[in-house]
Amino acid sequence: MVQPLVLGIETSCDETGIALTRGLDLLTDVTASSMDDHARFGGIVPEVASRAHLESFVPTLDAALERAEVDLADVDAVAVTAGPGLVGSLTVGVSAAKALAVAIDRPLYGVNHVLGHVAVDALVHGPFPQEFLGLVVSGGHSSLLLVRDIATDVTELGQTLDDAAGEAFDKVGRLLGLPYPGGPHVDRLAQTGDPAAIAFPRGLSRGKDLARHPYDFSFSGLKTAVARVVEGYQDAGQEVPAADIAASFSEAVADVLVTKTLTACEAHGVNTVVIGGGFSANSRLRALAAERLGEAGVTVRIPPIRYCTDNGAMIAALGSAVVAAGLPPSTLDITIDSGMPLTDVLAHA
Amino acid sequence: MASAHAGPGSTYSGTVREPLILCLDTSDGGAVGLLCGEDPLGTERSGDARRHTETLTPMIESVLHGAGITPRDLTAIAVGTGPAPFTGLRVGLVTAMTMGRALGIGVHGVCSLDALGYAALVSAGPDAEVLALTDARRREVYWAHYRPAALADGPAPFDVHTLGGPGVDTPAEVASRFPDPIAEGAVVGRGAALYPDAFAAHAVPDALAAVVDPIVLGRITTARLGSGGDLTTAPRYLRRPDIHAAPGRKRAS
Repeated sequence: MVQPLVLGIETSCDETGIALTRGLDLLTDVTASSMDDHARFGGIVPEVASRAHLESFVPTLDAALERAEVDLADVDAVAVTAGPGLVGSLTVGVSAAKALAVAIDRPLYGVNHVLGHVAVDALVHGPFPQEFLGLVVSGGHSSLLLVRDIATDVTELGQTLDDAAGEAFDKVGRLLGLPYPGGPHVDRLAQTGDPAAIAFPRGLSRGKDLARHPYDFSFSGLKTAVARVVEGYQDAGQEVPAADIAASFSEAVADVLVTKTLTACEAHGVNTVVIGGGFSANSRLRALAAERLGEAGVTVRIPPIRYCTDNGAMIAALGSAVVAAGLPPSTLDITIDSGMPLTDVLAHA
Repeated sequence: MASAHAGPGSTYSGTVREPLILCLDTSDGGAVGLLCGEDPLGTERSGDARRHTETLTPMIESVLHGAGITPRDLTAIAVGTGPAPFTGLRVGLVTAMTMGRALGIGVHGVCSLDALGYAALVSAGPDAEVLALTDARRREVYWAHYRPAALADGPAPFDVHTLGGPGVDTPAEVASRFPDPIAEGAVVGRGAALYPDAFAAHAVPDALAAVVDPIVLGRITTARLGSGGDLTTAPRYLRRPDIHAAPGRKRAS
C-alpha cells in the first residue's frame, strides 16, 4: 500500500524548513536559514526571523516540490509546527499551512516541534522500538521523554528548569569571546582543552536536588560558575585558559545529560535512547553517550547533524506518525502555542 | 466551472468565467471578501486584531462556502499590504501568497490605507482630499493623504491618488503636517478616533469608525490590473525591526 504523502512545515525559530515524506521515506527536505542575519546581533532577533520566513516560504515550498518531483495536488496531509517556538515565526508557518490545507482541501495537523526532534530519527534509523527514551537538546529545549508511541504516548520525565543546554553553550561562548552561535565554537575549542582542568558543578545531581528533580536539568548555575572563573583570571591579569574552560564546561553539560538519561533507562527498563535537537551535534555529548550508554547495553540513536537542527523533515516525520496513528486532524482555528507542552502532540483551537 | 454551485443570494452562476477575486486584509482585524466581477459575493470580518492566525482561514472557508465557491474557482487574490503591526500583517500576506501558489493564480497587493481613503472619497468632488489614519500602536498612527484618482476623460477609476505617505508618526507630527484636511473634517479611520484631540474635532463619526473594506480593496485591484498600477505584495512595515544591542554583561562575582 502506498503511504500518504505528508508535507511538513517548520518555522519555529530562524529556519524555514519544508519536507515531504511517505511513511518513513523522506522524499526531500529543504531549509532556508536567516542565521547569517542574526549573527551580527549576537542572537536571534525575532522580527528579523519572522520577516525572513515570509520571504522564504513560497520559494522554499517550490524548491521542495521540485526536488521531490511531486505536485501539491499529490499531497495527502499538511503538518506544521504549532509550537513551542517564537510567536512571530510560528505565525508565518501556521498561517501558510492553513492556507495550503484550504487551497488543496487536505487535512491539517498542527504538531509539537520538540517531539519532531525525536520523530525524525525514524526516517534515518527506521521504526522505533516498543519503548525508548528521547533526549531533546537544543538552544531552546532540554527534555527527557519516555516514548511508547511518538504520536500517542509520550511522557515527559524531565526538562531544564532554566537555560537549555545549547543556550548555556551560546552564553559561555560569549563569555569566552567566541562568535555567535557559541555552541559549535565552544565545542571546537573544547576538543583542544583538558576536560578535568576545572571541576564545574553538575546541576540537580546531588542530595535533595537530585531526589526532587531526578530527570530535570539546570545549566544556569554552571554558566555562572564559568563566568566566575573567567572573571578570576581577568581580575588577576592572567590569560584566560579558554580551551580548558570550554572542555571542562562541555564535560559538565554532557555528564549531567548522559548520567540522568542512563538513570532513566535503568529506572524504566529501557534499552534505546534517541537523541535529537541542535545540541546533539555536540561532540562531547555524542562521545560520552556512546561510551557510557553503550557500556550499559543501551542503543544510542542520533540522526545526522542536518536532521538535528530545525528542519521540515522532523515535522513531516511526526505528521506521518500522527496520520498513521489515525489521530483527528486539527481544525482551521487552531492557535499557535509558543509554550506548547510536551504532553500535546497536536495543537488545540 | 462545473464545480461551482450558486449559494443562496449569490449572483455567481458558474457559467461565465468572470474574474473571481478573494480579498484579504489583516492590517487591523481580519477581513475577507469575495468579489465576482463587479459584484460582492460575501464579506466577513473579525474585530480581534491579535488573533489573525486563528480567524483568517476559517473566515475564508466561510465566505467561499457561503457563495458556493471552491478555492479552485478563484481567479486572483487581492491582499492588503499594510501599513500594519508586523505579525498580523504577515498572516494576510503569507496566506495570500501560499493560496496563490497552490491555486496557480495571481496575488496582488494594495496599500490597506488606499481602501480607507477611497471609501471616504467615493462621493466627494474631484478636488476633495482625505487623511486616512490607523492605529500603529506605540502612540503613533499610520497615515496616508489622498485625493480621488481622475482621468483626462471618461469615468473616474476605482482608485485613489496618493498625495503623501504611507507613513508612521506621532499624532502631533501628523496633525501639524496636515492642518487643512483636519480642519475640514476630512479624516477617516480609527487612528483618528484614537487621538481625538489631534484629529477628530471636525470629523464625521462614521468616518472615525471606518475600517478597511476588503471588497474596496478588490475593486482597487481590478482597476489597477486594468491600468497597470502598482500591485506589489511587499509588506509595508514602515518600521525597522526592534533590535536592542546586547547589554554589557553583568559580573557574576
